[in-house]
Amino acid sequence: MSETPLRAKKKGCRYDVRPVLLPGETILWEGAPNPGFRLRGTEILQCIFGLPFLLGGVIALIVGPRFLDEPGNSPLGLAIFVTLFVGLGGYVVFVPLFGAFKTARHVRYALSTQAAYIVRDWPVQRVEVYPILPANAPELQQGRRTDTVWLHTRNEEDAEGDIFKTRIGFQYINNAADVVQLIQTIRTGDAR
Amino acid sequence: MTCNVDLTGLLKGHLDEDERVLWQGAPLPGIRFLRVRAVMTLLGAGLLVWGLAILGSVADYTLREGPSLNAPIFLLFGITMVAGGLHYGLLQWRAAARAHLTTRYVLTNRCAYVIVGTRFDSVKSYLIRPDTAIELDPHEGHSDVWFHVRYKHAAKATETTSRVGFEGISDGERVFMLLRSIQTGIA
Repeated sequence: MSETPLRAKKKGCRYDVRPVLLPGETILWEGAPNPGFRLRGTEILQCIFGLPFLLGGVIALIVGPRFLDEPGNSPLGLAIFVTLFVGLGGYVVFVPLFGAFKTARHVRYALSTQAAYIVRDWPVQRVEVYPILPANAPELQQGRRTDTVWLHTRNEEDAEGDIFKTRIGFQYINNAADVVQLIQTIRTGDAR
Repeated sequence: MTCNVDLTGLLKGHLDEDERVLWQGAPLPGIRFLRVRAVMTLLGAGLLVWGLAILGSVADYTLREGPSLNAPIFLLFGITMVAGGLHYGLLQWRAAARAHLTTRYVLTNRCAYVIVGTRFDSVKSYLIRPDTAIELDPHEGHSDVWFHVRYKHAAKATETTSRVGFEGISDGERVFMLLRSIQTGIA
């Protein structure tokens, strides 16, 4: 049932979770998201939010030099404005777009007899572990081509104190129903 | 990194009778998260430039036209922006460079402790639960270990999660394994 061994791919994520498994813990399934360009709702909003900043900076860069002769305008002021707006706007707009292209290639999933592992090597190398407990029921979300198994939900607080929900799971995978079945065997203790 | 501070002494009163210290450490010297810091510095530089511009305009207006009622509001606004700009533009680098002197980490068979301050007088404890999500960021020469701790929000009647970590430690993989063993009861 294993799809792509965690260190078998030439490109992309090469971190192996085996060294961080506990004694007696074994890998039951390994997989990866199907490749594709996927932008989440929050990322689309982020791009829309950053676009005016980016456009403002670009327009200032094109139009600004014509007004440098007028009193009160200086090349330094224009340079600072353009750098800030293009820099920040570009960062806010392009980072999610770039990420949407790259994420699938840089994520690997593993399910052990005790926990779910998500391994990324972009933008930073990271091993995430989500213990599978009898109380944590997985959720299967079926898509047109691939499915997602949601494993973990958490409420997080943003800078304004608003609470937002983050869901984590094995996203855009094949054989998701089999993975859910495996998780059920872990939850009931039959996988050990 | 080994610590020459008596952390167990600092934790007196925090540890339960059957609570044992499994690991203690500190961030390695050096500044990390350079990309995030660079973006923060850019933001800080923006705040600083606008803050100084506002303060300059207030000073210019006051010198030319005399004191006005609006001046204190703009002055306060400008000072806030300059302070924010200085913090994100410059002071965050100083705090990051000094983190290895002002931060200590302790892991017991029940909780993770983060002790900060020049005299290590602020102790925060985080309960490691069987369902706590844990992350390991292995880097060249150091690692970050993160855990998502839960807080009960009395006012909002809900539970929220916060990401807390042992940042820039030398033996991250070992700490990650210890956290896993605490969760599963092996520790």
